[in-house]
Amino acid sequence: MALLKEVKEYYGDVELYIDGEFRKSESDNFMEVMNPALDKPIGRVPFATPEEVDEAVDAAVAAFERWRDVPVPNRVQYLFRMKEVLERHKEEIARIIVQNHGKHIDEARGEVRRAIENVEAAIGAAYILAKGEALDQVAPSIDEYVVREPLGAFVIISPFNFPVMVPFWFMPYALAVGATVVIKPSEITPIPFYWVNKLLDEVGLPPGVVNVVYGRAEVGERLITHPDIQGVAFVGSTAVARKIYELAGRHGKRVLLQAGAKNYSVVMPDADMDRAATNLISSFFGNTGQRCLANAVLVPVGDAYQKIVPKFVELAKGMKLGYGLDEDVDMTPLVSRKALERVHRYIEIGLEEGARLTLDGRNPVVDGYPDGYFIGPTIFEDVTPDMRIAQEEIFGPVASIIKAESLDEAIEMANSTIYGNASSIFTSSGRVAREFRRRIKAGNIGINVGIAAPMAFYPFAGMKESFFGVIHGQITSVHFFTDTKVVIERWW
Amino acid sequence: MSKYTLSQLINKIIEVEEYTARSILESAKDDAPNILMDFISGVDERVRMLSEVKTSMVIEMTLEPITGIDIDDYLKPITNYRGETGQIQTIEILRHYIKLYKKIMDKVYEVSIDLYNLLYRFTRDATRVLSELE
Repeated sequence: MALLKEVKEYYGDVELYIDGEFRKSESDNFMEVMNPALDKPIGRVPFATPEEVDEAVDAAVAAFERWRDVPVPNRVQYLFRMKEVLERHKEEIARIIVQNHGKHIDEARGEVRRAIENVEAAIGAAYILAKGEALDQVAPSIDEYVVREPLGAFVIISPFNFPVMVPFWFMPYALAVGATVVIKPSEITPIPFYWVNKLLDEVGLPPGVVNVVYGRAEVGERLITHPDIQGVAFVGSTAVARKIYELAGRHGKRVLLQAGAKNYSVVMPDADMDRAATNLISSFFGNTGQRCLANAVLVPVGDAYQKIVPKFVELAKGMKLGYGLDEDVDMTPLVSRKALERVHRYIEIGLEEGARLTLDGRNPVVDGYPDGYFIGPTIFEDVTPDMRIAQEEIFGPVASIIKAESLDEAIEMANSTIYGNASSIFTSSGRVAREFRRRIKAGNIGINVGIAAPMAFYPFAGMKESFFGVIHGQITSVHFFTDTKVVIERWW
Repeated sequence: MSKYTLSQLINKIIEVEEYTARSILESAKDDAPNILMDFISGVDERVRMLSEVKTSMVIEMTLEPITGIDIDDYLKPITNYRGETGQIQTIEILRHYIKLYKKIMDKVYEVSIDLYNLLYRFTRDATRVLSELE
């Protein structure tokens, strides 16, 4: 199969989007944006100046006063148009995701689909979830009701691994309920959302409702601490989430912070091993392990070990590496050279800790892509729960296998990390699955599902240090962008 | 063990479509019924619909390898029929095509209902042609 065509080879300088206008940044601080399969620049991203950041916030704040007054059915029309534009351009967006992030085209297509799904869910939420409640006659001649009102301008900070999907976990919901946003996409993968933003110009949103700036931590900090910003929705590492939590707390901001993960997958002896194996392969090595729902530790219970591990290893060995625009490959590069070095470092740590390297994915030869940031599936056996490779987030295609003697022991191991993002169990027993679901300390649970990715119309959950805040992303973020007023009413 | 992601599988099915259409065209006689000629000329539309499925409803499960089926193995008998002419060969190729798609349908039901529905439609159309010929 031929390589799919790139949309463009080079995208130039990413522009800021402030008050309905695309503009070149005044910054003299730019970073090259790379194609990770080719180790080749595809554009440059500016780090916005403090003045530009403030202008973006000012625009969002000014737009809020008018946007909140747009009737709900009118606001929703913009979202319908947004869906239509995304549907029309879905394939080109997916290909740009591949060019900048490096992921497989199918994964990129799935990412765009999930973004569209969030627009659809936001349309529903605007009509249903944003509605208040009323109770007639709570006292003689008195009625009581609740209305939900948008709070104002919010910040959305999105990660490199889902450059298009994650802004859509929040932005459509904010817009649906009358809030406005300033978005800061990852500086490592800014091109896909930049492209989407250009396309969305066609939607004709009023100026200032959506603003986009780029930069590193200092840009994020300025946004979060701005006195006119109501809150911050963020997806990224636990270390950064913790910092934002503290910073936002000091400045009295709302937070919705989805953070890191170390997900365990338990395989019981009664599982359908063939199906479990294919499912696990996708879960451990899909997106080259760079997703917060990726499984990282495989825990076969009892004799499940002999049944699942050989199948898992065999499937992993057969994975073909290459550029994500080639549909015939199975796995693609990591996002950056820095990410590659980090994963290599963790493999060294695993070896130093005494784990057995069953499959070594380091330094693969990938035909046609000698400079890409590739690493193949890597599998450690003889891992113990106290090892760093069993506890820390590697964010790469590295599977650690730990044998457990019982379900109790497996759950104890899975609960031993600081994280609580996701966990899966493979079994044919409803009783065991229920037990697991009740005792596991993770927000997203997969039962015979390796990637427990909630649909847009469910919250994207998370517990422990995988989540900071009270309200989760996706559809429930409607509550994040609004506050309630309770009205007790009597008319003489 | 042969394994395919959904898009890899669809690419293989596109190969099957093109190969099958060519093979039937070669084996069909000049007086082949219209329904058969329509089936052959419908290949471009079938390929278009398959390509569309590849880019439409893609979800996490799409990347799970699909195993337990080897398309190249299934193509081999069709290769054996190629170069011969006559209705018997056409019938055998169509039977083989339907058998293959039913097998694939069984595998993709839990992964892509869109592909399942498309293959269901293709097998139904092929079955209609087959019963005309038989």
